[in-house]
Amino acid sequence: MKKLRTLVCLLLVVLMVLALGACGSKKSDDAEISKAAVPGKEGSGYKYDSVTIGCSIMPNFITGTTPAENDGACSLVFDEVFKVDPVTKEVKSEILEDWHFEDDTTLVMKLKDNVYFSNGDKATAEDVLFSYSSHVDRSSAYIWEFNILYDECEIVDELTLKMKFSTFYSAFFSSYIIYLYDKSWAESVGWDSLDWQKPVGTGPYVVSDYKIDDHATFTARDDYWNKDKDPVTIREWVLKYYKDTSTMEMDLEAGNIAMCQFSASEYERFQKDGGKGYDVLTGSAGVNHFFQMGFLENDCWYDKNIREAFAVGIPWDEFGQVVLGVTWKQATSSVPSDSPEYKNVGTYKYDLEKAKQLMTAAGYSEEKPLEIHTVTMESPYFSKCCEAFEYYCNQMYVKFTFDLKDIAATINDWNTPGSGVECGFYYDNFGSQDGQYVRGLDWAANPNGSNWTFIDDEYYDNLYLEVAASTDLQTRIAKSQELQQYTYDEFLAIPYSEMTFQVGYRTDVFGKAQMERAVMNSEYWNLANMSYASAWN
Amino acid sequence: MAKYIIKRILWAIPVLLGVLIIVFTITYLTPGDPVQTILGNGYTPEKYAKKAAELGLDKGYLAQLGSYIWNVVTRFDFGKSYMTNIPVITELTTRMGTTFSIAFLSIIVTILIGIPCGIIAAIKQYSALDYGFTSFALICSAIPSFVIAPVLLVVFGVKLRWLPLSGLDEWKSYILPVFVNALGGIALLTRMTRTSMLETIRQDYIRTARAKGLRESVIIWKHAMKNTMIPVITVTGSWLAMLMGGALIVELIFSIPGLGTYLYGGISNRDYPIINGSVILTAFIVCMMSIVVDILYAVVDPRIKAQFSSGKKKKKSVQAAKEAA
Repeated sequence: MKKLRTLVCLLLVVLMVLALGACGSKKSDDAEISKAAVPGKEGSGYKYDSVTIGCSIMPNFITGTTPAENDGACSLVFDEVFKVDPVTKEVKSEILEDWHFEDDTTLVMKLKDNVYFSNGDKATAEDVLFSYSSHVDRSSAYIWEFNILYDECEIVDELTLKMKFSTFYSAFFSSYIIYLYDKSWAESVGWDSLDWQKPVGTGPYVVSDYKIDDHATFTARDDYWNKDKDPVTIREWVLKYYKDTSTMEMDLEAGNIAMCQFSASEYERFQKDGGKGYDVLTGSAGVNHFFQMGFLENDCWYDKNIREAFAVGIPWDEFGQVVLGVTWKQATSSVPSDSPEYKNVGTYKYDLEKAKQLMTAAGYSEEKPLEIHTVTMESPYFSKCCEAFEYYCNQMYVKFTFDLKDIAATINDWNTPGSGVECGFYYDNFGSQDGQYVRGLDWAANPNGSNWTFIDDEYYDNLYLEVAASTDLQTRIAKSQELQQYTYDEFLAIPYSEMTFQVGYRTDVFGKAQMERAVMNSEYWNLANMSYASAWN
Repeated sequence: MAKYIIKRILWAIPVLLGVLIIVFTITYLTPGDPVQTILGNGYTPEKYAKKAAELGLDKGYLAQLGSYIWNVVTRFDFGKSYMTNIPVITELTTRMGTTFSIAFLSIIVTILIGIPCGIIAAIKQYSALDYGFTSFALICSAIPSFVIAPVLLVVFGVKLRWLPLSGLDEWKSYILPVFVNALGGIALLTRMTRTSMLETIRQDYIRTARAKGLRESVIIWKHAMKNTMIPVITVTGSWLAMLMGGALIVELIFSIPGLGTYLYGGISNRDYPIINGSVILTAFIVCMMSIVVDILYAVVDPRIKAQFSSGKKKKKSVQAAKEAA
């Protein structure tokens, strides 16, 4: 027994030494090559045989069916009908030979003659039409998120189609991405089929393995229709799924994955300590964070004094820093600063005394405070928003109360008039790749959206709809800038931060310039862009 | 004995039916609407009605319940996930293997460490070993798995790089999740075995065995062990059932596609078929484990086995006893 005791003690000592040694300040060896990337075999023409990256959403190829999807994965398997250049914000198309407006409401698209699906089918105008119309047929979320609907669509010939809109929607090209589906294949398998885990597309890769909640493997196609233009240099992508993002970030640090999104807390740690073997890139999500006033739920917001009191009575920059930490980026307009529409309209100067005077003018005082309420999702972000907002409100004759509920219950309240959602903290999850105003505040002129996001101001709504219907870029930019100024002057929605996102990547696998070209707005990674030979130049 | 087992299995049917009704009712009454969760913001009433009809949620409570029970009982059909469209039964059967492998290994580790620790602590009561094992058990039960798991990940995965951080791709991937899963069980089993063993070795028949001059190892392992095992089996059985029900935290942290993560996803998305199917499967496992535990009681304790003997066997044994007399 004495020996056993000695053995146990020794074991404990060894464990403690190991643990202390491991947790010490010495970082892991940065010279170590990531296990996440396997170099390509000599003569294979591939830079990497396999690259593993992390994702917190399991790839879903039926786009628009769920709130969450993985555009990075989709970009490997499908071609987008339209896409936006991440640097110039110019709308492009790899599969269309030409597209133009015949008039303000008629769009003509002509497909290239050599676009082929992975099953050998040739892509036609019917497939392009189906890629849009299927969203309507299967009640996709896209159809109420933005207007992809057309009143008429005419197939002019095998490769040409003409779409006629009652009102064109400017974010048609750059908001949600429409992937080219093979109509005959999709109709033969149906929307419920598990065949959608390995879909047919025109993209440079096919899904070779798919295990739900675990991983998806994408293998380069030998018969990719566009391979001569820009050959792919990564033979296989493995998208490893993580339910817990902190494990994913640790796997990046350990070199087990080559890239993943970074949470705000981990980014803060990275900024403080740095990372060995990996770097973190900050990108614009194409939208801003807003404080919005529920005109339809509380009449107080029709009073400009009250709106102005909220604009100047709360230090919004400080508020943004409190709730967003190191990911906060000052918003100087309703659109992000990298948007072609951007106009610097400035920020509201914090003036608590003025806010109190405005509240007094509106009929409120310390004894008779304005009472407002909201319901929002129970998450660290929204909790911080509500708590910080409550603190600032208390100083300016406002009694703010809130309920935090789970996602399903919150959405229920947001869609039910009279649920007490009298204001809220809004950001669009996806935005648009070119940072359009109408995507950042996508329900502001539509009373049928959430009952707290509609801005009930006739001039604003008309201007908004004009911006939304612009087919000409210069006209849209001019009207959008007028709208940004009007929103600021009338205190209709208060932006408190540009929305950013962070992507961590192994520096021994990817280069910074390559990452910047591949990481698009709207938190969208174009993995296909990262695969092409041109990405490494 | 066979009659008893059949009786216990038959009893499981109304239990499972009760669970099914209760779970269905709870999910039905829970605030939040799966149609709204799927559709997001700004849907039209027509779209809502179409989606609700598609999912069968436009009918009343009784119609939905009746149809659900009928499908489960007659076709073993738990429906399809609202989010992925994959039949729940397909996912449950696929994921059960993953969760089972971790649960099974965890319980083996729990038994291999927990029982010897408990026995040594009991027979060496108030010794350094006793204090050591008891303290270890206390620490294990005090540290929740969501604390110990990230610590182990940082130490063994990120810093030392000895073990993989996620998934179950190789044998080494099992070490951390199994250890984290087993920790609570080890603590519980150590304390339970110690208490039970202490109680047993103070009984008269043990004193008699000692008086007869039997060796201590024979007394412990042959005479005391079986009686000690009765409460230990109860704890082990319920622990295994709990692990099979899906060790949620461990599966989430180690990114393991098991039953726990499946249920978690179902709850987050108000995916009723997933919630109902997972809970019914868990209830089924608990029922089965309870039957297995009862059978094991009979194996380790002849008195319990005698209670379960059929009338014929009882008569025979009485007759044999009379003849012997």
